[in-house]
Formats: sequence, C-alpha cells, structure tokens
Amino acid sequence: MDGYLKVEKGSEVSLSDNAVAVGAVLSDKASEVKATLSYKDAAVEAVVLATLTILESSGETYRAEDTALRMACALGFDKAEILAFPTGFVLTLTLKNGEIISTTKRIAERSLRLDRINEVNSVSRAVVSKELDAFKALARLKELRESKSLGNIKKAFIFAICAASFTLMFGGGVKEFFISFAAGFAVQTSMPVYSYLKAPSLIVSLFSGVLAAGITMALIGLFGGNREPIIAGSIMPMLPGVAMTNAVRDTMRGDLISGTARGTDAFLNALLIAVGVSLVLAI
Amino acid sequence: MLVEIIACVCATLSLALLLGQPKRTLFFTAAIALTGYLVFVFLNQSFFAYFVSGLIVGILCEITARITKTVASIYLVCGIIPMVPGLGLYRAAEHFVNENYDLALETLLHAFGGIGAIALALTVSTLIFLRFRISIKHRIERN
Repeated sequence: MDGYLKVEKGSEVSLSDNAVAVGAVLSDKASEVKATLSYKDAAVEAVVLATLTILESSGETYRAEDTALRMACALGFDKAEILAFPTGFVLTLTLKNGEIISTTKRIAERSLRLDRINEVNSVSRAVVSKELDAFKALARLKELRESKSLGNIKKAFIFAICAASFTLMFGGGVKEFFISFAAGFAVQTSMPVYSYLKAPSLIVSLFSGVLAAGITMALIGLFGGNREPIIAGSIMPMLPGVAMTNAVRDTMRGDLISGTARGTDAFLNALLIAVGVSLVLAI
Repeated sequence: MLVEIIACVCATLSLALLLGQPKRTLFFTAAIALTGYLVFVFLNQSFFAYFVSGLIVGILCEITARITKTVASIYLVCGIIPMVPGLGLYRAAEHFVNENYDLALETLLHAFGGIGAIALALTVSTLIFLRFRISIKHRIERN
C-alpha cells in the first residue's frame, strides 16, 4: 500500500501526510469527523454511504457495486464483496488482519437525484486517486446527503414548463400551452402530499395520471382546446424513461435481477399512468 | 418546426433541472436531445427512427460523459426523453376508453415497440463502450 495507510484492529488515526487538502470548509468538517471516529470506522462508513447514496438516487446497480469495490480497495481494505439490488445491499469488508465487517442496508425510498450520483462519482474518483482520505470523503458524502433539492414551488414551476413545452412539441397552441402548464403545476404540487403519506410509487403514478387528465378536462370545459397534446404533454415528464434506461444498462452488465426489477417498475408505472388517464376520460 | 425545436430544448432543460442535473452538463444535454429528436423527426417516427435516434443519443452520451468526466446516465436520462412515445401511450388510453380495442392494441403495441427499439439501441451503444471490470486492484493483489 506504499505506506499510505494501514487499517489495523484498534489502530487509531493513521493518516497519510501527503493527502491534499480539498478546502477549508471541508477540512473543518473532516476534523470534526476525525475526532469522533477511528480511521477504520470512517472508511467503512464512507464506503457504505457512497453505495447507499447511489442506490437511493436511482443510480445503476453496477455503478453502486463498482464504486464500493473501488473505494474499499483505495481505502486499504484487503478484500471487499458486495451484493446490491435496487432495494438494498450487503457489503462485506475484510481487513488485513482477517477481521470481517459486514453491513446490510435496506433502501425504502428512492428518488431520482442526478446531482448526487454525479457527486458520489467524483468523490469516488478522488478517493481512488488518493486526493481524499476516509475522513474527508466521509465528510463530503455527509455534506452531500444533507444538500436539499429545489423548493416545492420552484419544482412545480419547472415541471409545469416541462409539461407545457411537450404540449407545444406535440402540436398544441397557446391555449393548450397554458392549460398544460396548469395541469403540470398541479401534478408536481401534489407530490409532497404523496411523500408525506409515504404512498408507493405505483399509486403516485395512478393519481398523477388522474390529476393531469382531470384538470385538463375541467379547464377544457371552461376554455376549450384540444385535449390530446395537453394530456400527452403533461404525462411526459412522469414517464419512466430513467427506469427504462437503467434497466437496460443493468441488464447489459449482467445484473439480471436489478434489470428485471427496474424493467417491471418502468412498465407498471407507464401502464398505471395510462390507466389513470383513461379513468378520467371514461367519465 | 422552429417552435418544435425550441419546445424540445425547453422540455429537456426543464426536466434536467427538475432531476437536479449539474449546471455545467445542461448545454450538452440539450444538444444531445435536440440531435436525437431531429433525427427522429426526419426518419418519420418509425421503429427504425426510434432505433437510430436512440443509438445516436446513446453514443453521444457515452462520448460526452468521457469528455466531461461524469456519468453517462446523467445525459441519457434527459437526452432520450423527447423520443419516449408519450403521445402513443395517451392515444392508446383514449382508444381503450372509446372501446376501439383493435386500434387501442395497435397503438399500445406501437408505443411499447418504440420503447423496445430505444432500449435495444441503448443496449448496443452501452455494449460498444462497455469497460470490462479488470482494474479493481484488490482482486489482483489477492492472487
């Protein structure tokens, strides 16, 4: 390990001197972490947090496994083995002295956070190239997990613009644009309610379809307009393009279980959105 | 056509913002999505168009990801969205409601066929750029 670090049982901080400082703020936080954890614990927690964050942000399963193995190797563990699914993972790390540390994590809630996947990826790159040690990596991962996504109102606006743009793309006019904007706004505004009620994602898809179609039909009743581009546009941002993409990528890397699980998820979500829309249209 | 292009860029960018894509990747995402969509439209939105545009988007994403040292799926997620057959899905739902089952099944199959063609194209583009996991050091050191 070129004298970089050694993980031994009961060993306290054995930090390399040539680690590059990444920033004043970070080193503050890193020393805070350093005061409470031994090197071994920090290294284990950094690997676990990185894997957990990727899976929680709907990253590909092979990426989570790959990141864990690379980070474990760079942080000085002797052996590492990981078995990851979209719903959880088991990680077993072996130290140089034969001690085995095993962690199992269940992932209950997944959301799509591309920025987090990207950040974890750059932390893992930095760890592998020895720019970050375990304490700094852990501090940065913790900081990243605390980072908030956009506010609800802002999100609703962006979602509405997205839905309205798709409506234009499908041949809608000005009237359709504004109705689609309203429908999109309503759909995204209702999202915090579902997450407060901890509703399963399939139910969310169903209700979103109902809501988008319902508001569209009500507004068309008031102002008139062509419903096809409006409803199709406002369900576009909800369609599981992501799940589909990741299902394919997972399957290609040989993660058949993850691929099938995500594929089923994508198919059912698309189907339930369509069912929600038809429920309203059938009235 | 101009309206469609602007709408396509706006839709992709807003979806990218919604999913929390890093700011420096936004431009590339919009460019990739627009390229894919234009190819898709010029090929008359057939199965072949789904496949070719999916392939182009997939390859562009992998190349951009390597240049900007980020994750390919960041670009893929939003780059592929203009081609996802939402309109077909909606039409199928409407035909089902009107009890036009023939037409409904036909539209539904066309929509899912389109998704299948995109998936196939992404498979091919992923395979082209597949890195084999050979460089994980501890596995070599163990021997």
